[in-house]
Amino acid sequence: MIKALFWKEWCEQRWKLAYGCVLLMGFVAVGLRSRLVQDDIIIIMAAGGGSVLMALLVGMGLVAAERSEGSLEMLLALPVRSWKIFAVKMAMGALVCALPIVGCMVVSLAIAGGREMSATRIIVAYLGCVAFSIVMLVWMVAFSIRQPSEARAGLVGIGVFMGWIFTILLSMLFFKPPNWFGLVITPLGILVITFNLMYNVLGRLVVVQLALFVCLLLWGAYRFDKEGMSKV
Amino acid sequence: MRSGVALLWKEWREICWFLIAGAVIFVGWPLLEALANYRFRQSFSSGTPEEMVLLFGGAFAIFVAVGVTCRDLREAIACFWQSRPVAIWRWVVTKYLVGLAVVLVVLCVPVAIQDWMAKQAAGSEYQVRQLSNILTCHTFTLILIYSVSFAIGCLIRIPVYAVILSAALALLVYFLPMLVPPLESFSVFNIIMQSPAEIVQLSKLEQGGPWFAEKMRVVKIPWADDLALRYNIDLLRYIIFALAGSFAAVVLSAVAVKRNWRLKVGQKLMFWLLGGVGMLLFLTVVFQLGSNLKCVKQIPIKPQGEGERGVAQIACDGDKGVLLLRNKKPGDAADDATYSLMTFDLSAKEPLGEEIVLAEDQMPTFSWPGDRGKIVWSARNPQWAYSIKTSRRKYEPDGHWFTDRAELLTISLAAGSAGSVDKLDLLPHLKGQTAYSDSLYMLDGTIYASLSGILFIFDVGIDGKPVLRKIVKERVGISGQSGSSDASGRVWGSISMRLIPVEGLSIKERLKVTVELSGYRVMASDGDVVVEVNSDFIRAYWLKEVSGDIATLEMTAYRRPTPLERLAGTNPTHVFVRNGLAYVIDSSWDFGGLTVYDVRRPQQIRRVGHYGTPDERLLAIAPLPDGNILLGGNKLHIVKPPRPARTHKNGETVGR
Repeated sequence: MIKALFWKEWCEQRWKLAYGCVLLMGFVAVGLRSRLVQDDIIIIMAAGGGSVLMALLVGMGLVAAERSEGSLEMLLALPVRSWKIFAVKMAMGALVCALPIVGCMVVSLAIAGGREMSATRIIVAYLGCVAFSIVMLVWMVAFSIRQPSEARAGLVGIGVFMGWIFTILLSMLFFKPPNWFGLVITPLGILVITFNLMYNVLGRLVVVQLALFVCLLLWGAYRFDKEGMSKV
Repeated sequence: MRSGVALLWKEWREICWFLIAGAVIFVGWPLLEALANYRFRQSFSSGTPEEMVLLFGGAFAIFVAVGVTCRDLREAIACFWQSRPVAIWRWVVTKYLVGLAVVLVVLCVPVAIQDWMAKQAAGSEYQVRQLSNILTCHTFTLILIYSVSFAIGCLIRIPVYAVILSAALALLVYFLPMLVPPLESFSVFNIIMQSPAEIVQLSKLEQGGPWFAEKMRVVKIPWADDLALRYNIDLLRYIIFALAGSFAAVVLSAVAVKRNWRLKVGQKLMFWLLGGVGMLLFLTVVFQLGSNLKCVKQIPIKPQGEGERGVAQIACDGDKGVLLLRNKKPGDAADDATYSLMTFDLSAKEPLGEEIVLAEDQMPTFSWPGDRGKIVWSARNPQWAYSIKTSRRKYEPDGHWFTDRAELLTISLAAGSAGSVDKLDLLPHLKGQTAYSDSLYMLDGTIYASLSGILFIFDVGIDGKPVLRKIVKERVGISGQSGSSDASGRVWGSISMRLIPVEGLSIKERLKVTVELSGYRVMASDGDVVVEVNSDFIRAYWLKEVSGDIATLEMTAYRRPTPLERLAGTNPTHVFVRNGLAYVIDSSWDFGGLTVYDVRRPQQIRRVGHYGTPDERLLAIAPLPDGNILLGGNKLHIVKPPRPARTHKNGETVGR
């Protein structure tokens, strides 16, 4: 049954995987080949921007689309524990978020590995963005799991992202630089630390974000089979 | 309650949340920044409203337009509205106007406040003009984007799809005119950057304008002899376009609602459309600015320390030559740079030779980073390089600058040598004249040195020692210039140039040496073609006639950079012409590199190649005998030129 669930998710999500791969890998290949700007700018745009785009795109369609089409009830009626269905959805979502970014990493290494950035630095940057994308997906799904439509799930995702930025800005009011709290408390810190190689706060960031990640995942699994919000 | 007021009240009840959210984002955020600035810098100010409105203003307009349309146009509610005793157009127009008012209030008020705050601060004229331009020009873009999104909302009626399609169209409205040169007049960013704040201004008739004056048209006022109305033709055209587009969108919306038109679209189509538009814009940028020339080889210059170290000039003859290296420690000013020489032989396995550090009194004087002609070298005397050294001092009693040193240095390139071995003092020949610029050029074993237009000619013997042959006190170089522009803004003209008076050289050789010694203008010649570049244009001249020592060059072609090229920054410092191709080095930090222009076709200059070096600053260029080009930055680059092509006309090479 789990295999069938994976197959269903794959059929629903594969066009997003193709979309992310074509768009992001095409952007990286053309950008790095044409030497338009410095390599790190292209890599930041593709990896950073791509991780946000993929998390939003996948997060919108993971649960909210099922609620909107009314197919979630049928899914929950299957003889499988609801948390397993949720886990399959999240696993497939994470895969669809991660693969285009990993593809970009391969393209970047092939075209510009060691040119301006060392291969290690390129790998670290992309892996950091893969981690950010998966964390953002979990945050988005956790907060939008009861939304009745994809549009509202997308708005919740954008709201979550804006909330992180507001949190960092608010923390600037209370903490003088270097503002570790602002970096560690929101997943945006993963991007900042990845691109600036600030390994001295990496430990704190991993602990805090891992704890939040697990809590949000459990919270999402708990609310997965609950009734959705009204459309009005 | 009258139906009009009732409609207004209903729309207001639904849309006030957008107003609150917009105010929180576009006013709250700058307020937070201002508070942070006040806490840490004791300055209650914010620079973000302008950036936020330019970056996210279009997105906010889209959200409002889609929000006000899609909610009321769902299947059940649309039928309800059609059953009400209210004309559809009235309902649609009320909805449109209330939404537009919210968009304009949320997006214009923060910029207006920032504009007002900037006007209070001293020395912020540029920022005030920029903010006024954003208010004047960008507002019409927002109206257009809102109107088009409103029409899309009425046609699609599914919020997420309407937002995606609107975003794709907004991207095209913002960026396509900036990227496609024929649409330049419709680019809001160009208009913001190049316009005066006012749409129409009343001014004195004879009053000239600053750099944007050519964009202004003047209408005389019949009853006031010395007054005229000036208006910006681009801005006016843009406003008419935006308002006409908005009006058409509103009409389309009303018709779509009245006739219940719906566009059936799917999620995949929408996302692919948005991605496709993004890629189209990106590829347009790449087509204009991207690299298409192949790098054959890169040679790192070692050791590359923490500071800035790069090639300032290349003097070469065939595969061999000398590099003048500029070395700057981190944090040092440009004047604190030290210089060294390094020989190279590109055919050797180890192409770079030993480095010879120049003492302070041997370092060349650069008037500006692209200043050329500081060092010459010839394969006939490979162990010697020649450099020019001048310095000036201020005469304190009257503040007059005078030259206190002018020498031609002969520098030994032998391994372990200490640099200069011979100095030829030129100061007595200047007789009190001040040398503001100096440059060197070497042709067939003869050195030509120009000190502020005074020409010194040296012969170099077998022993490598230069001997002064002749001094020409009559200033060589450009002696006159004339130009005019036609109705389309194209500039035509000619320049006259005093050629070096040297017997034994052909006219083309005299022209070449004269052009190479023109220090302050970025020029180069090849045969009877002369190319001049600066940040505003590239011009090609053709040698029309020579009368005595005066050559007349007529402009045959002219090219302005595209809006995107201007935005990327143009800072050409060197040009070199070979086989009808002009190789221009752009020393901009971010978008620098080598750009190749085809100047073979009369009346038309085309950009045919680019080699970007975004991570380093190129400052030197030299031709190689195999047709490749040698570029000097933080490393040496050997670049393949664009492939030659022939036209079908007599097989003559005149274009690609």
